[in-house]
Formats: sequence, C-alpha cells, structure tokens
Amino acid sequence: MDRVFPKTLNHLLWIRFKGKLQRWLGGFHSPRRRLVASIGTLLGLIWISQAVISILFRKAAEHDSMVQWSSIALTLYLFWQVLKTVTRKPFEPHEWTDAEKELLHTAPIHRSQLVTYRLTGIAVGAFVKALFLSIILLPDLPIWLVGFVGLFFVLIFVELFRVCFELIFNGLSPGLRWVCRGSVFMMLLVPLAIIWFRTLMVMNAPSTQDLPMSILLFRTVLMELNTIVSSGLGVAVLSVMAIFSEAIFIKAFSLVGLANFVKILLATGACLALVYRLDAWFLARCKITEGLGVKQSALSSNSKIIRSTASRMRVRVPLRMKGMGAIAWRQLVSAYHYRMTLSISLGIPAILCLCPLFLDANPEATLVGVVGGLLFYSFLLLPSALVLDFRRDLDRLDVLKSLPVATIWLAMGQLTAPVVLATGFQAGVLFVATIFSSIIWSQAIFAGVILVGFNLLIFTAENLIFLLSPYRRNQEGLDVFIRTVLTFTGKGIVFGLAVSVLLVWATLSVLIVGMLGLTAGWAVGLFCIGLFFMIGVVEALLLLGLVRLFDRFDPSEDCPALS
Amino acid sequence: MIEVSNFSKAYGDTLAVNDLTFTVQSGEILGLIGRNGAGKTTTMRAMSGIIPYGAGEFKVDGFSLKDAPLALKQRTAYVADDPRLFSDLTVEQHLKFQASIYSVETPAEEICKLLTIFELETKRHCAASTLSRGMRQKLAICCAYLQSPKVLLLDEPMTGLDPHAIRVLKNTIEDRAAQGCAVIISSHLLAMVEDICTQILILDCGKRRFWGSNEEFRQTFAKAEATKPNTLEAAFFSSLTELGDELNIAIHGKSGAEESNSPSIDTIPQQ
Repeated sequence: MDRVFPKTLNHLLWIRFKGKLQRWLGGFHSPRRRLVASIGTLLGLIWISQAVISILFRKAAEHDSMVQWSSIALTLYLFWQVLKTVTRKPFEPHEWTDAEKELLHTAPIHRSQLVTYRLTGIAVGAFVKALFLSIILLPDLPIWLVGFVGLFFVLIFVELFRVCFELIFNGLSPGLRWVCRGSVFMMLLVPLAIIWFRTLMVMNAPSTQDLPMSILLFRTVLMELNTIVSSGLGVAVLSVMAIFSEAIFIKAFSLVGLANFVKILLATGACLALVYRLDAWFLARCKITEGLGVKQSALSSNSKIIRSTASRMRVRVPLRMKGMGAIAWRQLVSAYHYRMTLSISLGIPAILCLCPLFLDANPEATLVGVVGGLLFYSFLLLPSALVLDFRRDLDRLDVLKSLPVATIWLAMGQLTAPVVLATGFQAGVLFVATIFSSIIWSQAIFAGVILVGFNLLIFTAENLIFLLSPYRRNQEGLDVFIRTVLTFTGKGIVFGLAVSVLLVWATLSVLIVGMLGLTAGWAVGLFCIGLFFMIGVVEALLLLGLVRLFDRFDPSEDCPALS
Repeated sequence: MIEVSNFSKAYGDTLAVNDLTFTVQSGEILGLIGRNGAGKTTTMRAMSGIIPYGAGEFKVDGFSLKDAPLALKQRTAYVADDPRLFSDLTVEQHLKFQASIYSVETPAEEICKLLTIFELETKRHCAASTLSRGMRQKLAICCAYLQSPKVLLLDEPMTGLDPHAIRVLKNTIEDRAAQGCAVIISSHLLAMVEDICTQILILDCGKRRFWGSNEEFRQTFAKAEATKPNTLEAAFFSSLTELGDELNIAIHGKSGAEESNSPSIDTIPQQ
C-alpha cells in the first residue's frame, strides 16, 4: 500500500484538512469574519430549508424520465468540462499549487504517487458532493444508498474524464489544439442550431397555445431537445451516462442492476488507469516541447536584442485620471491577454440572448426578451466570466494599497474594466437586436443606459463580497462548492427581491399618476426616475462599503493562505 | 524626514511590534536588523500604508499617514522581500503604470535609464510572470526608483540578485541618499548593512533593542565579547544577549525592552 500511496501523503491530506478547519475557526475573531459567517449561516439555512421542503413536499419524478434527464444533464456536465478546458490558455494539468510544486515535486515521491495524492483530494470532494446530491434527490432515489454510491462514481468519472482531457489537450501541439477547439465548438453549435431552428418552426406555427412566450419557448426547446436525444445519434451520445443514471436510479436489487454497477466500476477504473498513462505521456510531450523551445529561443535571442534597442524611446504612459486611469489601463491590458477566452465566454451567451429575435413577436416583447436575457446572464454568470477587478488581485493587494491613489478612485479604476467590457457586450447584443428587428432605437439606448448602472451595481457587489470573504481563483474543493451554493442562493434572493421592488414601484407609479390625473406616459417617466434613483442610491452605498472595506483590509491577516 | 512614534501592531493575540519610535533624517540610511519575526516587515508594511495598525504615528516629510496618506505614499517607495508583480504586464508596462500613478515628469528617459542600469533592456517586452526571481527583484527596484521617492523602504532588497546587481543596488542606494533620500533597509546581510548604513535599529520580538549610529552600535555592544573583532556582526549578536542588555543599561540607563513605556496588548486598538 505504501508504494501506491505513501503514508506521508496520507498524513499531508489529513493535516491540510485540520489546518483548514483551524484557520476557519480561528478567523472568527474579527468583526468582518463574524459578519461573513452570519450571512453565510443565514444563506445556508435558507438553502437547507429549501432543500428540506423540496425533499418533504416534492413528488418523486417519474423513473424513466429521471433516468433520461439525468443522462442528459450528466452528458452536458461532461461537455461543460471539455468546453472549459478548450477555452482556457494552455495550463499545467492537475493544477499544482506553488507549495505543492516546491515541497512535493522535489521530494523523493514517485510521480504516480503524486497523481494518486491529487486524485484522492478529488475523491474526497466527490464524496461530499455526492452526499449533498443524494440528499436532495432523496424522493427520486428508489434505494438511497445505491443512489449515493452511483452518484459518487459518476462524479469521480466526470472528474477523471476532465483530468484525462486536460492532459491530452495541454499535451497537444498548438496547431492540434486549434483543431480540437474547432471540433468542440462544432459539437456545441451544430446541436444548438438544430434545436433552435426546430423550435422556431414550432413557435411560428399558427396553432401555438395561449401561453406566455417565455414558457412556450422553454417548453418547446425542451421538447425539441427530447426529440433529438431520442434519436439514434442522441441515444449513442448519452449511452455512457445512461449506464450511470440507470445504476443511480435502480428500482430493486437485480442482476441487471449488478451488471450496471460492474460497468460503471469498469468505466471508472479504465478512466483511472488512463489518467496515469496520459500523465506519463504528457510529461514526455513536455520534454519534447521544451527541447524545441530552447532551440527557437537561441535562434530568436539576437533579433530580440535588436528589436528592444530599436523601440527604446517609444514610451507612452497611460492617462492618470487621479490614478483611476492607470489602474483601469492595467486591467484592460490583462483583458487583452485573455481576449480569446473572453470572446468565447461572452459570444455564446450573446447568441442565446438574441434568441427572442427569431420569434414572431412585437418589438417591445422582443426588447423585453433580449434585455431580460442580458439581465439574467449578467446577474448570475457574467461576474464569473469577467474577473478583472479586486478578485484577480488577491496577491497584489499590497501593491494596490501602497499606491498614492484615493481608495474611491482605486475602486472605480478596478471596476472600470469589467463594467466597460460588460457594457460593450450588452451594447453589442442590443445593437444587433435593433438592427435585425423593429426595436425602436430610443428604447434600446434607454435599456443600454439602465444596463450600465446595473453593471456597476453587480460588479461592486461582487467585489464587496470578495473583500468580505476573499478566496483564491481556480480553487477546487469543498469550500468552493459551499461558497458557490451560498453565493447563488444569495443572488437568487436578491434577484427576487429586486424584481419585487420594481413591480411594486411600477404599480405605485401607475397609481400616483392616476391620482394626479396625468397621462400614461408620465407613469413611465416616474418609473424610470425612481429606477435611476434606486440604482444610484444602492450603487453609492455599495461603493462606500467597498471603499471602507478596502481601507480596513489587512493583507497580512485577511488573505487566505496558499494551499 | 521619517518619523515613527509609538507604533504598535498586533495580530490577534500576538504583539508583532510594540511601541516603536525612531526617526530617519534626509540622507541617512537606516539598517533595520533583527531575527525572523522581530517585526521588521510589519513596520515597513505599516509605514507604506499596506496594513492598518493599532497605535502610533508615521510621518514622512511632515505628512502623516493618518491625515495625509496620499501625500505620504507619493513620497514613499516600498520594495517587498518577495515583490508581487502584475503577471500580465510586461517590464515596460510595469514602469509605464508606475510612471502614470506617480506622475513621473520624463518617463521615457527615466525608464530607459533604469532599464540600462539594471540590465533589463532585453527583458523589456517580457511578461513579469516569465521573469526569474532576481529579474523580478530588479524590476521592483526600478519601479521604486522611477518615482524618485523621498523615502525608500527596502525589505531584503538583495534577495535573488547577482553580485553585479548587488553592487549596482548598493551604489544607487548611496547615490539616492546623497541626493537627500531617507532610506530604510531591512536585511540579514550584516556586512552589507555595515557597509552602507549610517544608522542601526535593532528590533527584537517587536521591541526596539537599539537605535543609533553604526559607530555607536559597535561601541556599545562589541565590549560584550572582547575576543571578537569590533564588527557590526559581533555587536549584533552581543546586543541580543542578556549581557548586551546590561551594557545598554550601563550606557543608556535603560534596557532595550524598557526603552519605551510598553503598552499591554489590551491597550492596542484592534482594526
């Protein structure tokens, strides 16, 4: 056993867990941490209550449809892992931390043992996630224990598949990587296009039922998706995950069930063996690539010297603008480095947000559909795609704090890049929507202006949450899982509250204008003034909070330790 | 130029720096010496406005960190022991950023000059993430020099530098001091401190053990071990012994630990 997984690594996993727990408990001495812990506990309680309610009062889903939809969901999750890998810049698989590189990679530990160490961490995470999921799916799982084991294996399988794909993708030559990227995008776009055109055909048919457009659209998309996955190709694509789904939702102990479990064990085992093989292949590829790199560097070193001397005096300094200009410029330079990843992560939602254009609806309904899609995406997912603010500068907060820039300008400089990029993305979508439909320009511009305020609001809030409870990007594990669950619960509540406040204000605007005996146009005006005022007040409060928090932030104490 | 008075900083229940007071005049180079965990980096980070602190006051050129933080930061440059650079920015972009933030008047000339002095010309368009440890240190020093500060805070500045770069750095530090800059260097390289520092401040467990001129330091503590040559290194080790404490009492009338009216941890406001 010691040859496969040394006691040292086992001990390391244990002390790291203990260390995390101690740091977490020890962090409660500051008011900031106590506040975060209170908010987290409240959100956790809300989430648990929701889960309990859904477990107690939810009717169990139909077995066959559960098996089919879980196969689809798992296949999409698997595809998401692939998409995530191809849209990132080439990186070192396994994501070793600096501490691991310095301490473990230099220790007399075999590479395969290191891989086992990494996979053990993944397995622990999968165990906890499977436990959570199996509790939520309690009404749907005929045999809970079997369901839990099945979920554990499927999560392990997906993670192993991800590691395998990362090793293959990052081991390829740059040219082959582009071929791989192209293939993955084709795999994404072709089914999307098919579903969409089929949906359009159904939606634009005269016999559509009397349902709200959004519900009808959603239902039609689901029906079309169902038709595609029921086809021969669909069944073939889903076949791997279907085995896992059938094992998870097994009705009774039987030989067929046992055979399914043997299959998933074999699939997971094969994937596990493949990880070790691919890791060795990846290392070999790295050696070859590095050898070529050395030769190329030797050839180009002379020309570099000549070029650098030639460009000696061309120095254009970015505009200061109270420090805000330079700070924003710095983030935009980083955004330029990630232009490809950003284009992809914004391009796909842009296409999805333009979906209402294909419906035979009036201009107002189309605009509402487009803006609604933009708002929803911007609120939930866009902040994770545009991490070009304090969230990216955890290790550089020292530098930022030592700059002679007032915190308000520093904060605004940090927020500029994500807000500008988000606004650019939304303006682009609105522009295309207005060009290709009969949306009125003035309405589109007004929506764009509202969205600028909204962007400021969401990115300020994201940064405020980050400074309250800082975390490291690309961090994996249980704490990230819990953070994500709590953040989404919090966002869901805030989104619901915001929509409720807007509805109340809209009703009040109509009532006030009615009482004053004015025309309906005044109600729109009053609603808009109130909307701007509310956004302005909330934004000012959030910005003030961000400034105070940054002033009080102590990088020595508040930054999470490197793992 | 630099005035530090009654500075204290606590991390939870640990008192990192306890009632520290000292000044550094224009043109002086102060060597900040002490064992690991003595509070040297904490002092420097607090002086440059990076970490909030419980008690005390920092002043640079008459500007207080509490009342005029921007004016103080404009005049201060801090080089960390492990400089945190912006990984996506190139060497030149770092200097452009610094030139913009600190409103450098002739950035092109200054940038070219510094790149030449620190032999970074060939790395001008390289991303900071691709630089070696020594190169990163050089870039951080260039960024600090570019702003022409009145106060230079250097935390272990020689780390990772090659012998030539160390010589260049020592010369440039002396040049800056000659031009009126007040310099504080935290270092464990006692020979280097002895070479260039005019003042010495010994910190031990967050308390000031000694503060005075280089010469005075050696005179005070070298007597502790009469057999050893009268070097700064010998004086340093002597200062950390009980005998050293007695010598300090004999000369200054009080021990390093008693020099200040040390507050208890409870009296330091927590932020």
